[in-house]
Amino acid sequence: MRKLDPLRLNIEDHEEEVIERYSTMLQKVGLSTSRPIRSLLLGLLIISLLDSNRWSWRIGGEDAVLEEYWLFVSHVGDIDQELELFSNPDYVETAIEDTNCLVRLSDDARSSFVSTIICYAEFVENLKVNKVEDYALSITSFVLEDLLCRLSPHDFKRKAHMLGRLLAASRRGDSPLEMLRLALMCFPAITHRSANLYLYYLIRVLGVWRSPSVVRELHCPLDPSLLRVLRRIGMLRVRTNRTTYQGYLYRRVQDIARTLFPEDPTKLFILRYVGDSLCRSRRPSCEDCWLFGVCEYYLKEL
Amino acid sequence: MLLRCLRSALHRLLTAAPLSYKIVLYSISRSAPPSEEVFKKLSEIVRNDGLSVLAEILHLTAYDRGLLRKVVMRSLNSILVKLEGYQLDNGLWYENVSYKFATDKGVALRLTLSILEGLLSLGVRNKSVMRAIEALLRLQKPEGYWSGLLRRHYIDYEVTARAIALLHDLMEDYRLRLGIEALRKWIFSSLSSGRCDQPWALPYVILCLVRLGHEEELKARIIDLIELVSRYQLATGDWCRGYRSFMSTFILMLALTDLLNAHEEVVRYIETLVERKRKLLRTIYDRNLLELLRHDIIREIEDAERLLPLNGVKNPKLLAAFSWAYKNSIPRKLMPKRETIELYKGYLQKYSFSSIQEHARTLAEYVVEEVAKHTDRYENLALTMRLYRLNSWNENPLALLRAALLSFPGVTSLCSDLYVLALYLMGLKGLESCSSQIQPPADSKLLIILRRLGMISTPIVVAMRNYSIIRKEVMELSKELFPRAPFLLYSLASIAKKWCLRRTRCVRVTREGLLKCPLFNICTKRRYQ
Repeated sequence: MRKLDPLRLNIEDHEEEVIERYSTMLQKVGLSTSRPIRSLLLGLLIISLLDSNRWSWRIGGEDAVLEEYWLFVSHVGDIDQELELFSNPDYVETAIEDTNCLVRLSDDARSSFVSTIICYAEFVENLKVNKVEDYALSITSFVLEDLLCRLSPHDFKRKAHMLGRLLAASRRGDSPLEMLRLALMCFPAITHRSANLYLYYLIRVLGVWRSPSVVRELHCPLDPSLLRVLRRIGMLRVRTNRTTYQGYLYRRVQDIARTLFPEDPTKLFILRYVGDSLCRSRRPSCEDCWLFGVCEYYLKEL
Repeated sequence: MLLRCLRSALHRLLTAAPLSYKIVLYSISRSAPPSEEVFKKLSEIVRNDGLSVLAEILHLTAYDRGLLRKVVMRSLNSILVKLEGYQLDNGLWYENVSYKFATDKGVALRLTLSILEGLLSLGVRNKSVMRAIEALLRLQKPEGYWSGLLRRHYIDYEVTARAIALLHDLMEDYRLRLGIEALRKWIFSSLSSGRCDQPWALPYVILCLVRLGHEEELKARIIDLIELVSRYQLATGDWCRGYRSFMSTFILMLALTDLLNAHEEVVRYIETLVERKRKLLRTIYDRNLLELLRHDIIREIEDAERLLPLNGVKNPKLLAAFSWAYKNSIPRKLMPKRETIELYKGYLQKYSFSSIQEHARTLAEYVVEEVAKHTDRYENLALTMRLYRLNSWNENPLALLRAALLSFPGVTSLCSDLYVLALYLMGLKGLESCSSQIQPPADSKLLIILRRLGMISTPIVVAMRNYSIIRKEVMELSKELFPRAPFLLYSLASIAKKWCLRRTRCVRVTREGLLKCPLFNICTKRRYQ
């Protein structure tokens, strides 16, 4: 408990700076609130997918993610004017051929990515929403009425658990954000990491539909860099990086985030920036790190 | 010792393997299958299943001279058309043809080899077969071996052994020699160390070397071979931990039969089991065990009906049937969940139905609207919703009913099987047409009698850990014996109840004297000779 307060203060000190950085990153590829909401949602989904899978898909760093996004989107068409092209399988598949890393994906990952983009583009094409509640309701009904029957048997088998959870949540009347998160995770290529990252970019970084009640319900996305930093500062003892939605590691990280920042658990995600830029897995720059005062790893190395 | 390994592999195949394997084994021993309806069932499998099942059947055809070959020959044209659709641009066969080439670890090579083995044994030499042969020869390394498409420095011994056994006439001499040398080197180094890095390849390599005339060399190292085979064979008879494939068990059986010259032993073993199955069938039909079972179950349901509070329920018999199925599906020590019975009661208060189609539709509707709030069976919930949205209650009402039942908290596969059987015995409209889909409930009564008759081979420890394994085995057996009405196998449960589970098993003491179990003569665990 002794290290919680300094950690909290450190994170709060650097919060604005990191959010500003993420916002600039999104602006580099034209994703800002000045965009029409439909193209913004689709663009954010694509970039969240690329960003959250950048290690497993061997994309590389932040610049490579932006480049990959740009290559893919510019090949399909103008995301503002020609949104319907993103629901055309031929365009999406040929656009993948134009990219550097997506082209190397396995058959399975590639078909999941393609069907996710197609289904989501079809969904946002006719979307008219002003509030997060409307968005959650419309995506839930799209998933349960349309996507559920369209998934291939293989994808359905993988996503059956999430679909069932979503159905149960919608019948129980759970919170809109929980339904939104579950509905996103029902798309073939979207995992909890991508879904949470997408909501983080949308609500926390770009400020779309931002309100204290919504922010309170956000979950902190689990990234390998974030987990590494948490482990090094001694907040997390679990070794594995394999996480399942509502599994032990997932719940543990959310508990830490909620204990530190009950009003906005995603503030913890700022540690991902530390993990990417300073606390790398090999040769960490402990001297430049602003967490060295609370870091067990630093003290041990010292 | 090797003979014991051979016998356990054979027993495993004859009990747990899919129908096509059993048919091939029957044809090896020249005995007819116990039930004559298997022909239709096999034709259905060949027509409807995907590429991997088709490849497996074609692979088995290469070792068959009987019924399976006849079935495949009859639908050869449709098979060839189907195969053409699955062939990749590079000549190999693979299930996912959407992208450039199969980015797999040798699955395409294995599928292609299986298909080629079958087609060549049937004498098919069309354009696509030649393309596949060319592709395989093209992929052979100059060193004589085959490797995965993406892992170039990895020697795939299974593929190498199979390809050499199949294409040795078409290969260049020096490559053939190098390939056989690679296999020999691998197997003898494995025999020396007592371990091997690709145990799944061992049966294929032994079979290939035996058939290419290296039998004596292997016989000289028989002690090492015994050690190696018994290290990797499981207690069930399956070949290799972590790679439980019936095909490799089958190949092991063939290899050991060839190596030990044990053809007569194999034939005798198969004949004994077939005879036992035939007698079992005769007993079930002659004694009319189904009627006995119907009588027992209906009486038990009526007893359950008397104990239930039935306020407002439109169809009390169904509630009793559900309650009976649920209570019989859980261990005696556990208390039944009140919530489950209440939820089902809620369904009967809200809906009424007269046929199985309506029952499936209304139950799925109720599950999606009401049960979803109370359950954590998320997979089954999603499956129910999907089948409901696809309006599948007319074509396949039992699949929808089963998914909907499994969405209730605490309901197991056994419970759903028992419930469906009870519905059939109670005469619900529409169930006669789906009788081929009604599964026998694999409960303790049925399992004990099947185990004593030597019809199932999954060890009790495995069955306790994973019920689906034993359920699948019982399903395969029932599919073989009663293709039109698999649930008939459950009529053995009435014998188990009257004889096997009594204190004096095998005989019952009555006023008239001792009454012997009807299956006394074929039981492997009988007492009181």
